[in-house]
Amino acid sequence: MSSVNSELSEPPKGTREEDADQSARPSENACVQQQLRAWQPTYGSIGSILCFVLVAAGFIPTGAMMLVAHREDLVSVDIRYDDLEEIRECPWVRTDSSFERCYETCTEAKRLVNAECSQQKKCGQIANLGPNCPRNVSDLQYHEYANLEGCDPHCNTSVTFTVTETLNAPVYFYYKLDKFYQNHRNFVESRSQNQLAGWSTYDGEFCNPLLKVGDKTEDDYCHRSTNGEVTECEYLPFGYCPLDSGCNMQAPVVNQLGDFRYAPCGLSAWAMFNDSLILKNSDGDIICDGDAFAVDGSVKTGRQSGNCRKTGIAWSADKYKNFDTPHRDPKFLTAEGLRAEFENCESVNWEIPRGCTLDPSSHSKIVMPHLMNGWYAFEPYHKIPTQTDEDFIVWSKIAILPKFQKLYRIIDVDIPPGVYTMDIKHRFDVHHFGGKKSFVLATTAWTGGSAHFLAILYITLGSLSFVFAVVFMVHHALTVHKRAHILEHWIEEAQKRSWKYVTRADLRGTGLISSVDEAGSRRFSIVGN
Amino acid sequence: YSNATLLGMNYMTYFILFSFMIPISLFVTVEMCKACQIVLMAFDQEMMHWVEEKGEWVPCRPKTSDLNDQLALVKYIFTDKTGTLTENVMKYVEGVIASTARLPNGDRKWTTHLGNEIDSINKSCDVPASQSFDGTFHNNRFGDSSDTARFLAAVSLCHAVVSFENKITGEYTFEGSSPDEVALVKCARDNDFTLARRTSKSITIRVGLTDHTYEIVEELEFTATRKMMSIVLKDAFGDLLIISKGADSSIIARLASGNLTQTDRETIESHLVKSASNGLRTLCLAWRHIPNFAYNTWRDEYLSYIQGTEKSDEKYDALCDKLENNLSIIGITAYEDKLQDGVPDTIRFFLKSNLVVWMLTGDKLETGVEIGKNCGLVDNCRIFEINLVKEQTREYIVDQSHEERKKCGIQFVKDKMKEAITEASQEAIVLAVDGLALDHAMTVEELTPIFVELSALIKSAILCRLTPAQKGQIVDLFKKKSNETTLAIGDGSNDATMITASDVGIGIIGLEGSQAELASDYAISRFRHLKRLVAVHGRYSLYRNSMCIGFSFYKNMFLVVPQIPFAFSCAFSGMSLYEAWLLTIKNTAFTFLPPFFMGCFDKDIPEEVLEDPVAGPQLLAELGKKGLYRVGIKMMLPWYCAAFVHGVLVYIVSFTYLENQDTDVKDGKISGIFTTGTAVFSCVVVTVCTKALIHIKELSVIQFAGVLISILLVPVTLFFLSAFEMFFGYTHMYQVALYLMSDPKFYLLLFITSVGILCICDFSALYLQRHAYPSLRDLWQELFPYQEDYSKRPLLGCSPNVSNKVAPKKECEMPEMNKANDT
Repeated sequence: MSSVNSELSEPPKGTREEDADQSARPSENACVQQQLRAWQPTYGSIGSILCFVLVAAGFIPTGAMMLVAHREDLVSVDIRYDDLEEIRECPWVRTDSSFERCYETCTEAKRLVNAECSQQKKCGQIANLGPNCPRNVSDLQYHEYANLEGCDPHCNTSVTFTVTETLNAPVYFYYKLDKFYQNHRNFVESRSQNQLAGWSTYDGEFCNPLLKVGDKTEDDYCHRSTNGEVTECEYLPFGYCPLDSGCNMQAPVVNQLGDFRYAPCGLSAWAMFNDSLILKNSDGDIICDGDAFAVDGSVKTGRQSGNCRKTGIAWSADKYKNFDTPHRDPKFLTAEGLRAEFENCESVNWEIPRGCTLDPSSHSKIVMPHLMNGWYAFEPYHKIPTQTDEDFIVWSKIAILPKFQKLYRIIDVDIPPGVYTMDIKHRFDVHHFGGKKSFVLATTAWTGGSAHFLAILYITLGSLSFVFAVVFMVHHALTVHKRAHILEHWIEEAQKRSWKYVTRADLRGTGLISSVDEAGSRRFSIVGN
Repeated sequence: YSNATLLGMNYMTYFILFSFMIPISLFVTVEMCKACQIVLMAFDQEMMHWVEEKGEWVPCRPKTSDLNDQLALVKYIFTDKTGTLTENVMKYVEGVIASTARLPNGDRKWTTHLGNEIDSINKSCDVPASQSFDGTFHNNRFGDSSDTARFLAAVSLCHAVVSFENKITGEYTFEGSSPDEVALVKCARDNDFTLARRTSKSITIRVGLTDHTYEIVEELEFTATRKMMSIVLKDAFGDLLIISKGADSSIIARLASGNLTQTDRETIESHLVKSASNGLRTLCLAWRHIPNFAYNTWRDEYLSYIQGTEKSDEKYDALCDKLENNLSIIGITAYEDKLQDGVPDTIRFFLKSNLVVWMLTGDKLETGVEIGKNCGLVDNCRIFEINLVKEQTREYIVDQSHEERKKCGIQFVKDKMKEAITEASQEAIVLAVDGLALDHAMTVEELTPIFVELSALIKSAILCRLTPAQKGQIVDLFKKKSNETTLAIGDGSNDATMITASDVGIGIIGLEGSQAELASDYAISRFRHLKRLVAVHGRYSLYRNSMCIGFSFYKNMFLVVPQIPFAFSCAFSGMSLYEAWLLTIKNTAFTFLPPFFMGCFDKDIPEEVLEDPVAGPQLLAELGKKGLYRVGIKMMLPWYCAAFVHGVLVYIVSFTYLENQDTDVKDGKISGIFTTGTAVFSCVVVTVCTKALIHIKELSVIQFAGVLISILLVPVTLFFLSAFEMFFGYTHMYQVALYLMSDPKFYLLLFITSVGILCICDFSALYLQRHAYPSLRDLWQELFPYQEDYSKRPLLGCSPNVSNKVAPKKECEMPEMNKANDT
């Protein structure tokens, strides 16, 4: 028995050395044996405090640098203009009933509509239908519509404002919208990337609800009974009519027209911001006429743009890759394409009507006046944007928040302090969705635009980190000689759970016990006795 | 669609965005981690054992990966004795031979014949040289030989061992399924009774130079209920004889009446007790002639049983009983089974960890108690015995009827258990129960609740004379009684039931076949490896899984949380803040490696500390606490809180500043939702990876690489996605990286989230928790400065240089187990 006992008392650790002679054990791999060299951070006092100090030392200067840069480089003027009286009262905004005022700038249209109104006594009804004023223009001949080209109904207003600090060139000229949910999922999805990029593959299904001509307006033009069925549609001169409605047009025409797709299609294009902003100095000299640019960025003939440009406002990636002239698909309706088709309407094969179509009853040509002018169907004067237009490209870059600003023009001269006037051609209504709009003149610093909040945040976090460092340092200083208390706490804990195996020897050589020794305050014997 | 439908669809889309909150990837990641953990177990050199017979290292063999973390949560350990705590390499120690001739008073003469010196070189037991068996055995029938010769002949005949002759050396080697039989046959060989040849028909033994061949008529195999085996032989004279070998209780019960006098019984008992208290195992041998006609009658029954369809152990036992009766005693053999290395340390380790360790054995109570003392199970505690078998011998109630005996037994067990309960509530006791008493305790209705009550108070117990079924029942009882994890460890087929019944079954890869190994969840080759399996691998697995799960939830929630305030900004339209591709590969690319490596390699405390006899048990005991590593609300709460706080802060940091003015680059151009969303996404990913750095306890090169790769994958992926005008239908990302990377504000944003927020929130919280409210684990981590030998270790796994792994030279005093104060 004694021999058995002596064998038992041998520690099992010893077996490793014994076994070592027999043969090398397999898989002598430090990784598999979990014996890699490694750093075990214990997050002791000094190291942690140092970390906090380092963070403070890094953050506070960074924040300060940003603040300084902003103070020196960043100047911005932000003027809200949607609450001006002229804009609030603007007649053709859909809340307004004084229909004609809208067309003061377009005498021809006014004449036509007046004539229409006097004939049919339907002015009030038409007016109530919304901003897209003259709908019921069935009597118009196509040449009369031709005269509507260049018609641009809008409300004029101007804001006078003061610039107190010089804005150094380049000055960035932004428009800013609030409560406009560009980031609404439906809005984001409602576009065709392929179409925008000018590719032949067409994923127009994404464009709902503004894919095809007439998509949006079916409900507006047809009367429904109380149970929701279409009872009667107004006479639509452009040959649109849903198949199952009680229209007096015949089906084939409808089908053909319904096949046309807008280019660019989708809500994003349809809802494009289209105000014009013209910046003038106190002398009335034009600094920047935002309206003077054609879609390709060049200055329109006979216009003065001032010292600003439209080119370079969009991302180059977008301009050169993501947005291009639409693929020449006969079914794509672009503003320019329609115009061209309209010019040749007489010669167009009637089976593939573009700007015009046939009235099957009369076999005479019926025009689609809105499309023909590059307008959205049923929405006179609402132009279909051009895909390569940088304004459109900027607009299509979806803002992440409902409050956003977008680059409008870049002004290449300094704007010294003084009084300035902004002439505004108001077309884009924000009141019906309760939004705001404003224009912004701003310069940039090395951080880009304003990062004021970020700078404050850096300084705050840095300071907080410093405070923590100080607090922890004080805590450490207070406890370094009393860390025995922690030990005691722990020993008490151990006693509570009846662990009685903690010996002083275990603690020797640890930082804890040595500090206790130095302090000379306590001596530990075998705990638990 | 009608407006209502559209609204409804939008609303549902909004919720689909939140599906990322539940990390689907988690299941895959955790499974991969678990697989990795068992690989580490299987390759662990510390858990390998050199097996001489096979000439190879036998590693730990995990059969499942589902229970890795359960190992550390084990509360009850049930262990077999033979082969598990002991080597299962039997050494013959002594034989006690009964004389045929009787002393004048009718008693037999008992001679302890073979010396108890066991370490002679060539022989496993000594032969008294003066004895010449040849002469006495040669010309006689089995029954007429000398006592010693009959004893040795019985030993060499009654077994299931096969003999192999080495033609060159003329030596015989033996192989059998039971190591004790082999030990016996070897002893007989060394005493000139060599098992020369064994076929299925006959056994030939060579006594001296003469061969004696016996025809095998029948073999009655060992069954657990009979606890004995027999062989029916026909000798050269055509006589039939049966030789039985088995547990003393079984054999003595089957002796012919009058075969033993009362004095004989006491002599046997004293021999048995003496052997058992030396930790020896004993077997009794008995024999008788069988008249041919009796055998033929039996054989008919037996054949009809064999050919019949109804087969059951009971029937077989009953059949065997018909032959195995009226036996006359030959003698008692005693052999020893050495305790394995490191068993006491291991058992003490578990007991100190507040685990309950019960030894379940088929051996005698005395043997069990002796082994229990040697293996550290008893350590200074009082042993409280409930020995019904002994009681019944002592009380001379042998002659009472079965019913009465049972009734008395039940009363006895009941009294004893009640006594034990009162004692156990005052001081720690070790319960030692024999099989018969346990059978009553488990089956009799009124006793079971008392036994359950008692078992709750007992930390260690020795249950003896158990059948395999009883072992299983005990484990089942504990499983039902408590919600704690039970672990059963055993090596033989008789342990298979208990291994299957337990939550975690451990098989010892031993000499007794592979049944236990097959039934087990983890197979190890030595009992001492259990400590490492539970305290190191189990703990690490638990820790790793909890980190992996917690971190996976954290990273997914963190990504989702900014979407909640963003939903207010996008009119709850279900717009995703992040680009679809980034979102898709997020879990597989950007934030896969840190939690995966955490789940595979991280260690909260070094192995040496975990295996330390002082620290280890405390750390193991702490694991049961809720909120530490056990997956539950308390453990997950810090992760959820972190995810929420980080998410909200990242939103505030990025969006409040975005609202001021969009992330515009220096030339005044304005970025869009996908640029800004990508910026936020990058912030989230980098912050997640940096947080991993704070939480990894052992930062090896691999861990660093995992974090670094994850962080670097962000720009790489962004540039990759930005390079394509259209990537599987999405154009949003085209050239986004270019614009983002050229914007200094992007870096400022990254820096402030990954360093500022983490430092202010997490690091300070960690500091406060560690210094103001340290957990035991934190203290141990600080108390053990374990970097000494770490600098010598290899940085990567390629070099085979692990031999310098040294246990820390700590002078830990051997703990004093004072169980009296424990309860």
